[in-house]
Amino acid sequence: MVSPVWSMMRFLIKGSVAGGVVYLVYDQELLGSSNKSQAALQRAEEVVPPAMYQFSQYVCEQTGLKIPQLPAPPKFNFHIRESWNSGIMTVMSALSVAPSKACEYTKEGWEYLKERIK
Amino acid sequence: MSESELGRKWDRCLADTVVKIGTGFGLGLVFSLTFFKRRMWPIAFGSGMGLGMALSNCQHDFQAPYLLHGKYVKEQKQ
Repeated sequence: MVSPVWSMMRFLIKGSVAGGVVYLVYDQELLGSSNKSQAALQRAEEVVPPAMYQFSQYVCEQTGLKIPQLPAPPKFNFHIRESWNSGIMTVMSALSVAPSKACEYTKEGWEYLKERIK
Repeated sequence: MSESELGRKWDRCLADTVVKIGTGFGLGLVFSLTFFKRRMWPIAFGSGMGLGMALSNCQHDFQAPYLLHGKYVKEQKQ
């Protein structure tokens, strides 16, 4: 008598956990359009770090352990997008003038060698 | 399409990909643990579904300015 009841209870618990996760995904519109997903990611970025910090503080208070303070990560002022575009333009302009520049330098080198040989 | 708009679309696409793959992975993990006896295939299935949905959204987002939407109009006999 106990085991069918227990198996039914297990099935109900598993079903409720799975159903809860499915409802959470539906409610937060995580599988919807890209705008909603981006908004959900921004909300998560705002909520998760303070929650993690508060949880770590709570664990430290309860257990008496002290988590060492990590130094702040360095902030870069390097904008990849802008420097990538200017880098591409520089490389392409250099490639476009490369043949004429190579001819010019070859001529100059040849003239220099002729002067030296004389 | 201007460069800033293209950059915004790429940002949206990447954020969408991360969220959908994570959601698919999470759903697959939950179903794997609850109903499918800790098998790997629900996790792989969920992650793959998430990736496919994200790719479809990205494709639609990038093609949106160039797609023409028309509707079929029946001939009216006068």
